[in-house]
Amino acid sequence: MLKARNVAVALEEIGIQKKGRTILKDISLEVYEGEVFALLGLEGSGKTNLLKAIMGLNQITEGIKAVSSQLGYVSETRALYDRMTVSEIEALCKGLSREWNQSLFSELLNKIMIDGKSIVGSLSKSKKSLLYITLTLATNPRILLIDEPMEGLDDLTKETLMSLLLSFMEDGKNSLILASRTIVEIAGIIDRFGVLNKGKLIYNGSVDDAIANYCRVRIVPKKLDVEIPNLNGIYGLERDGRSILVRINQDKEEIIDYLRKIPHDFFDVIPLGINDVYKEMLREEMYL
Amino acid sequence: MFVHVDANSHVPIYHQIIQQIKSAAATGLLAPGDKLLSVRELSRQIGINPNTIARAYQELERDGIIETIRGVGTFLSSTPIRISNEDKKERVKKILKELFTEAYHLQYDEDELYRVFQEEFDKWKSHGGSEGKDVES
Repeated sequence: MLKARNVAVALEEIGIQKKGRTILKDISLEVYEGEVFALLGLEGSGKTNLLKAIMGLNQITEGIKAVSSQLGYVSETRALYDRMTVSEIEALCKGLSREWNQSLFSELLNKIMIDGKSIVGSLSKSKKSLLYITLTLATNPRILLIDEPMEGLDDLTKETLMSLLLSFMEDGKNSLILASRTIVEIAGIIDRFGVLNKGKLIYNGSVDDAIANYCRVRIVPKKLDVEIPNLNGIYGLERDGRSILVRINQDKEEIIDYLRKIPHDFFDVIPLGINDVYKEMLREEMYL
Repeated sequence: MFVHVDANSHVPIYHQIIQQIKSAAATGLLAPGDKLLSVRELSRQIGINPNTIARAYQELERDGIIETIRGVGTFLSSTPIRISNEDKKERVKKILKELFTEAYHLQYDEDELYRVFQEEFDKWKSHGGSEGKDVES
């Protein structure tokens, strides 16, 4: 069943230059209503700059950006006024926001078990992170951007955060964009993801497509000198004694069928989970 | 509910959910008419994107394994599975092709292969065949 999907964020050939340095180049992607999109990449790949660009905190030097509704942004630093109490911060945010959902804030504050009288600076890193996200959620954003959602959190807090984010997604109209260095902890909640490498987008697609397209084949051919052709879809070949490891990133079925026909003593298809696929995508860049 | 997924598996999450519900039905963990958790409830319980769960439920519903009654809930079907015969045939043929390719490379004796097939088929039939327990459960 085809459903028309509304676009929450659209980026077309976005580029950012700062002091002659190219921070981002040719970034085109869309994030839809009701979906969770992850922006992955190593440190320095441009994730934070892209989030800031979507938020309007960064000057875009090329391209077009369109955002359909209210944004909320959780920066990596989660900076709050440490000397204030939680209640004072609440009052400050309430005063600064155009929309403030008091009942949601109170409910969430209760859920994350933070007392209004606590001094912000005395809160643990985990609690502070949750507080920051709660304050942002209370401003009723339709599109929430979070830089490194899981960083520095203890395991229980990660679960609480996951629960908060899933609640945010429940009405099917909100969008969540997560920038992260790793995919492991958020793999369960994301719909699609993009991978940034040195300011460029090297992948943009769904998790299921990624794990469907990538795999490895280990083959021990009967003849040592057999040539594996440079088929489109094979991005890496490694010989290890008699065995050859073939790295595949598209047309998996056709390539496996082709390889299976090579007379062999051993043949194994190694499927990959999303974490391994992500690592392969970064590795691919090194092969190019 | 009993569903437990591995988000980092090579098996797509929606597929894992489908397999587990099918398995639960096959082993009797879920009986026809039993109520399943809603998409929202399951999403909260296992920490998985509700879109993914909705996709699994849609496919199970399309195959006639579960049915949703608006305003009431989602239940395990009491009617038999509605996969088309064509689909069933294609799936089985695909697995047979893989078997034959492997036999070719193993240079497995053809008569021996047929004997092995008969042996396993008879064993499976004696345990009830398609009407019996799921072999892998």
